[in-house]
Amino acid sequence: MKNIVLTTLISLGFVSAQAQSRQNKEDDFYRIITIPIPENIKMEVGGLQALPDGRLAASTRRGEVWMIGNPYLKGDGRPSFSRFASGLHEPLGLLYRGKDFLILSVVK
Amino acid sequence: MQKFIQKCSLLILACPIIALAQTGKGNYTPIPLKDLSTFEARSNNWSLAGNISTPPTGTSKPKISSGEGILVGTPGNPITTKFKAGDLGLSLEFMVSPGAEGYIILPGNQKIRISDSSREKEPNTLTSGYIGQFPVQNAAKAAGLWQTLELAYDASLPQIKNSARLNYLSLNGVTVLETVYLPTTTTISDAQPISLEVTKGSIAFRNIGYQLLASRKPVVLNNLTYKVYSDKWDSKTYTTVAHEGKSENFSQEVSKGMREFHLVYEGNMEVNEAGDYIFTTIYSGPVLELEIDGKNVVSSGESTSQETHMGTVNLSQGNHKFKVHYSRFPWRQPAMGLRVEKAGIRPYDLHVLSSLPEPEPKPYISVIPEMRPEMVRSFVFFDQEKYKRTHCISVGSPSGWNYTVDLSRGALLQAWRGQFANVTEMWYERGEPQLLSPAGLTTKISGKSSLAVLSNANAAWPDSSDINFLGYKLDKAGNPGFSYMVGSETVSDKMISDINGITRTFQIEGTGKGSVFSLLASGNDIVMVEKGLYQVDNRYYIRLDKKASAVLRNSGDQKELILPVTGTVSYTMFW
Repeated sequence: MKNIVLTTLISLGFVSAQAQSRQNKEDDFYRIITIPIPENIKMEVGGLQALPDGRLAASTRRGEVWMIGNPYLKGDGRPSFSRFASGLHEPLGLLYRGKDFLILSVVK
Repeated sequence: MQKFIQKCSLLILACPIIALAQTGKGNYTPIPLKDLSTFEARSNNWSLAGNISTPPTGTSKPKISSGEGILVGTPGNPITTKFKAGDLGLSLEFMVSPGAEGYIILPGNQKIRISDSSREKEPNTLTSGYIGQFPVQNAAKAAGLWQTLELAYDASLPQIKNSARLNYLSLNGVTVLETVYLPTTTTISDAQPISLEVTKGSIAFRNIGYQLLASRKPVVLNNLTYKVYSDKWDSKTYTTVAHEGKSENFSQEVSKGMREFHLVYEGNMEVNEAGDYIFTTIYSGPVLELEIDGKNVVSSGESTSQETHMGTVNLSQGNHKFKVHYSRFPWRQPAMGLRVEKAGIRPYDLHVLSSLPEPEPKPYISVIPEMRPEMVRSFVFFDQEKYKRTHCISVGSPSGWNYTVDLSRGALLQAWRGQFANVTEMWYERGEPQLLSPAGLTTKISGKSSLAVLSNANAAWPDSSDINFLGYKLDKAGNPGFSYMVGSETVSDKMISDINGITRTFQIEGTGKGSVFSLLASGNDIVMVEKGLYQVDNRYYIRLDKKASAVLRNSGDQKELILPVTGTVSYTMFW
């Protein structure tokens, strides 16, 4: 009796597993999209700040601060990149203070 | 009588077909410029004209001829439209006089700058298209040429207080701003008019059209039933039903993850407002067809969800039967989306969000000339021709003026100002198309050979003359000089870009026999602005030596400007 019940339960389990024809992936619920970055920009990002005018400011380990326009790829899906600052010493921290940026350098 | 005239003008305003002044572009409702009745409180710095022309530089006033269809403004009070909008799309053409500055003021007092800024090397607050952020590139044309501006704007956003958003701003076909959030002092809840203002010089406007973006949903789908067939993904007919049923939503997820299927949805489309509707399909698969009342509206083949396909249909009020057939690529995730739009309402989706997953971002590979000119050999698609031009070289210069030459015909195809080249179709994955596209403000020159041997100045210009490309040499700065054998003469062709434009120099090597001509321009209308300066349609200007013997002649229904090449001749193009 117990064997019959156990076998029925296990085979029901198998059947239901096959009826679910596709496993749900993280992609179905939380989509992660990589922004296409031009080849000539080394975007080793340390700090990120979303600006109130829609742009994304990113400070990179290469000493630059880039402003990325249309970062959510709306419209025709093309972001724009414009360099805001360069020549900094590995700025890995970035804070937007309304009128300026505050950079935190890697201090050794 | 007055009431009758009022009713008639209201009717004319509401029916773009009757207003013969200009036709609405695409889905835009035009503002007729027969008189200033479509604007509030006119002040005398705004007037109507039939034609206006101004040279690209200098201080002379523009030549205006009376008539209707063009709104001309001089410094003074702004002019405000009678129509009011919150969220809107706007499309207009404008022409600036040298040194002119002005603004287009959107609801919420957001000012978009338009000015004579074609000479600015880097875009800044003075460049045309500036609002809140610098434009991505300087796409302004020179004074005296008609420029197009198209934008989409949301005066208020549901989730963010005190903020408006410029969805996109496209100047002369180049998208210069996208998704810019603009702070406003208060959240705008009511519709406001738009204004045009001129602060310096003169600016002329024409073909002004607007789109109201109300958030109504006049088309609703109901009584949806679906059938999923298990035939192969690329088979033309489908007969084996795998499962079927009723559905609350319009989605491809009813296929329950099958790898190969054909999905057919049928149902009722309830239309609450009669009119012209534009249906857009976005899908990933080999086919998607939409039929309404048995007639095909949109039908397209292989596509990915990065592209859109559109079809227009006129629907009367009431219920209509519709049918959608979709199939997926087995190796890609299924995606099916259907969007609808109509003049006066914001486009909205008829599908459920999960039916159309966010597509992979489009890759973009570009070539940027840093210190020396960059040269790229590629195929180029020119002007909707059927076949690609295969022997093309594009030269990009750090000064921002770039051009493409078809070497097999010695033809200067196009020139553009701004970012150099979009070479994604050449070097992304397999790069099979091998196409280079200009990434800036492009002007088409001509598909015909630039040099030809003519028996006299009136002989017809050949599409492809007896021209052979001999090679090119680079000078110290990196600019290439091309050598051609034209007939029995050897001619060198060198184009140098500087801040003023592209200067092209032809030189006959050795002794010439004097029958080589060069084609400077070909277009519908070539006008001599002053001695030595010609305007070609609304595309570009040509500046020559005043004493040069250029010949402006007719060729069929086009005009051509040709120059005999003896010794060394040169001219400059700019726009």
